[in-house]
Order: sequence, then structure tokens, then C-alpha cells
Amino acid sequence: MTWPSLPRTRPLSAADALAALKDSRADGRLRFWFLLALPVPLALLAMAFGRYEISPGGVLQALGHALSGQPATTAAETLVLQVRLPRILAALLVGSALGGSGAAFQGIFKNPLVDSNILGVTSGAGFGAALALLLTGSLPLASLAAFVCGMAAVLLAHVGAQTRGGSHTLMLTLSGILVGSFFSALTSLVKILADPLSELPAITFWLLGGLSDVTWRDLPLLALIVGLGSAFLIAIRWQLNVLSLGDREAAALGLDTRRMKLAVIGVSALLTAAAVAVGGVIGWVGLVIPHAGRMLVGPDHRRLLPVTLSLGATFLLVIDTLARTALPREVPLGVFTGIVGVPVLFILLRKARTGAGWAE
Amino acid sequence: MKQLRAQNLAFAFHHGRPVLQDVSFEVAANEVVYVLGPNGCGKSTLFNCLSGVYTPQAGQVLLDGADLTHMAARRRAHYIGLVPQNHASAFGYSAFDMVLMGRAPHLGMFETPGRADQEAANAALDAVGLSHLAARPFNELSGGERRLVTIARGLAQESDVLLLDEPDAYLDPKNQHAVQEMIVALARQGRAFMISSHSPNNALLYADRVILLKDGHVAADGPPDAVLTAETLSAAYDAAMEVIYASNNGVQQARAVLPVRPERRG
Repeated sequence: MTWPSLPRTRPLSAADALAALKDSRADGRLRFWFLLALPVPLALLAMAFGRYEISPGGVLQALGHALSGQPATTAAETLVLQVRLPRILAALLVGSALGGSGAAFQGIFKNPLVDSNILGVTSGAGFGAALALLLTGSLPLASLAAFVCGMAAVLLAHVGAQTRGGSHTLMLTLSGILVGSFFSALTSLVKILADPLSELPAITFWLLGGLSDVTWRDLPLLALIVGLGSAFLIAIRWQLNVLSLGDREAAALGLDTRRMKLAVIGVSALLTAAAVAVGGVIGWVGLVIPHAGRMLVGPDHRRLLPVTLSLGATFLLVIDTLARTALPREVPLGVFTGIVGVPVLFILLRKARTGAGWAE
Repeated sequence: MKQLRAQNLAFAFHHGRPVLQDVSFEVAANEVVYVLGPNGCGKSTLFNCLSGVYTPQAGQVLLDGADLTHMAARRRAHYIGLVPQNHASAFGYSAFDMVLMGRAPHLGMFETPGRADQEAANAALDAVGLSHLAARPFNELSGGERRLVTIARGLAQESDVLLLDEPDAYLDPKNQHAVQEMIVALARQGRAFMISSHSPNNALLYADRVILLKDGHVAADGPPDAVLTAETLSAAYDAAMEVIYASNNGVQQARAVLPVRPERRG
């Protein structure tokens, strides 16, 4: 018998390979810009959806009126401008904050399984909101307390990790887990103390996350933080590649690793805290979105970071639109991201190859 | 650059025994210096101290008189680069993107690589003969190919001094030879290289000078034929070694270093 001969492939010449590299980049460019633009048409579409159906033409008309400075004339216009638009903008901002900070955290912790809660930000924010709701019952105060306690949690995790020797990244991860658990325990304590008929439902509902209470008033600060934070992360997107090699290699390559990591952690925590303060505890976005981004545009942060900002916005917009329209009763966002996010992540993981951005 | 000088370097991990003690030497431009020594003698730690990854507890690293130990990381990386030993990335960057990272010291904190950086990375990848793997994920390459990619990254950094931690590990004989010939050729253009290695034979072939480390201090420092003798090497490695000489136009030249097997002794 004869053995089948192995198929022969022509060895790639260097010129061919570089041409292939260029081709793959050109392919990727189209996809990159498509993903970046995606939130815009989806946001316009989402404004038409809701219990009260408005035609896409009606949405455009309402927006046109608002842009030209005329007051809303019909109930539909008021609905679009005063209820749906702020909520949709909040979904976009919160989603991009969670997606972008997730990607940044995964990069500097060189760990693709990390999410925006790595340093206890979300747990801290949850406690702050719960405490404010217990003591005052005021939603704006809950947002403020969430923001303050979220940042306090990161600071605590950072201070806890200041040891001599040992790997700073490992200590920070450990410290973040501890701080997160501590605040979760405190949140449970607040829940026990809360009145089970009035305060407890409010706390539980807040912790499950949602954008149903968003008004225009919530947006300026959120937009400012997300705008500046995203701009910073986009500006250092290539340096994130170098930082993700680890402290030692990045230092040998001339990066001031300590200061840069501190800046990235600070900005990412700020983004997360701002998102949680407005939207409550919305899990999974910070973990799932960077993975989806890597599947779509690869691991290079020059593309990945802008894409995670846009993909996070898209994902949360879609989820929030479903949350407010799919079922007769509004479903909390945190629940919905879990129900949708986990299967999505599972499918992604099943399809993942090392080439898609994972190490062996 | 004219000269790299290490002056009385000392380093210890916290509460540990000293890894480096009173290490002093000089490396001139155009020079290829091999650092040999047994496992755990402090070769990698020395390179980490020289490149600013670790800060030595005592002593100085001077390049043409400028103190590298207290210099901003970015400026230091123009003077001295490091190609570390083992490497795997948590993310599947392409070989090309990996090499491109060598350009970090040439870019500001908010800058992304431009055309000149891409060309430098291309040239470096071409120099190690791996242009055809540019688009392949680094983590999918063989150990030797990864070694070559990290070496290319070191070349793309274009520092005056390049430290290579065991560049010959994982490489087949042809690639070992090619890489080391390239290093010698680059050194002749005015750069300096320090190479840590476990192969005295490579030092014999390519070194201008050999520094022998033992227990964190310099046991010997000199031209290859002065340092690479049976006596010095046997003492350094705590193992019987012999040096094979061959006559080249009537001159006896050291050609190989081999361990002595017990049954052949005496």
C-alpha cells in the first residue's frame, strides 16, 4: 500500500506575508469602523421602540425639532425627548464605561478573566447606594454615595496592596477581592437592617441595576466622566499593549509602569463608579464585551479599546431596550445582562481559538 | 555611546541573602560581552538591575557618566534594552505587534506607532528572518521563533546597549549561529551587547570578553582565552571541565569546552 502524501504548501515569502498582513488589516479596518458606527443607527431605532410605538420618521422629526430649538409639540415628541432619549444616552454611556474599563483592567492585569469589579468598585458602590437608601431613601443621594464608596473601595484595595516585595498585580487582585467581599458583607448587613416592606425592595431593585429612573439631570456628569475617561484610555491604547506584557518587560521597554498603571486603574475605576452610580450594579458587561471585542478585531488595544467602548454601548442599549419592551413588566438590567450575557460568553468561549486573542 | 560602567552593584530580594555583591565591570562600544556562571549566580538579576527593572540597593550603572539607575524609564530605555528569558503573552498579539512594542521608548505617553516605527519593526523582524511570520499570533510560534521575535523587539528598540538573557536557549544550531553573527556585526557598527549564556562554547566563538559570575560576584573578567580555561571553569561550575585546543597555523586555539565524565578521569 502507499501512504497518501501530505499536501504541499508553498512556503510563504516575506513579501507575501507582509502583503497578507496588510490585507488582513484592510479587512479589519472596515469591520472596525462598522463596529464604531453601530451605536448610532441602533440608538435611533431604539427611540422608536416602546410601549407607545413611534415611527422612525416621528423620532427623526422630534429630534429635528429639538435640534432646531423648538419646544416639543406632541406627546410623542415629549416621550422621545424627555423619556427615551435620556435613557438611551445613559445606556450608551454606562455600557461604554463598563466595556472600556473592563478592557483596560484586563489589559493591565494581563488577565482576560478580570472585569470592572476587580478592585471592588461595584461592591463598594452597591454598599454606598444601599446605605443611602436606608438612611435617606433618596435616589440622587444613593447615586452620589455609590460613586463615593466605589472610589473609596478602589483606594482601600490600592492601599491594601502597598507591600514591600511580591508582585504588585497579584497583591492588588487579592486586595480587590477582599475589599469587594467586605463591602458585599456590609451590604447584606444594611439589607438585614432595612424595613422589609419599603426600604428593602428599593435597595434590592437598585442593586439589580436599571435605567428606568434616568432623567436629563443624571447625564451631564456621567457624560463628562465617560468622555474624559474614554479619551484617556483611547490616548494610551497602544501603551496598554506594552503594559499587558507585565511590569518587568514594560519597565525595560521604558514605560513608567507604576504611574501608568495607577492612572489606568484610577480612570477605569472612575468610569465604573460613574456607571454604577447611574445604572446600579450591572454585571457581565465588563467581562463579556472585551472578549467579544477580541473575537471581532483581535487583541491589539489600538483597535480593541475603541471597539469595546462602542460594543459596550451597543450591548447595553440592546439589553436595555429589551428590558423595557420585551416583557409586560420591566426586568432589572443586572438580571437581563446575566441572562443574556452568560450564554453569549459561553458561546464565545466555545468558539474561541488561541488566535482570537487567548493564550493557550 | 562610549562606555557602560557598573560600579559596586549590590542587590538582594527583601529579607533574602544578597544576589549580587560588589559587581563592577565596564563594557565599551563595539563590544560583545558574554556573562557566564552557574544557575542562580545572579545573571538575570544583574541584567534586571542594569536595565532598570530592579533598582540596585547599592552601586551605580553609568552610561558615558550618566546614572541609569535614577533616570526616567523612557530615557533609560534609549540607552539600554533587555531581551528577557521566558515569554508568553496573556493576549494573542501578532509577532509583528510584539516587535513593534520595542518602539515604546521612542513614543510619547499618548502616541501610537507611526510609519517610521512600523518600518523599524519590519526591518528588525526581517533581520531575524521571520518576516513571513509577521501576522501569526506570537503565542502560537515555537519556542525558538518566539525567542527570535523577542530578539527582534530588542533590535527595534535601537538602544545603545542591548542585554540578551540566554538568546541561545531554544534555538537550533543554525539560528544560534545566525543570531550571534548578527549581534557581532551590529556591535561592530557601534552598539554594545551583553549576553548571558550557559554555553561556554558560544562565548568561545563570539565573545570579545567574558565575565564569569559566581555567587553574585565577578569571579573572572577578561578575554575569552584568559577566562575560559579548564581551571577557572571547573571552579566556577563546581564540575570538572576540559578545554580542547586545536592548532591554527601553528597557534594553539581553544575550540571547545566539555565536561569531563567520571570514568575518563585519572
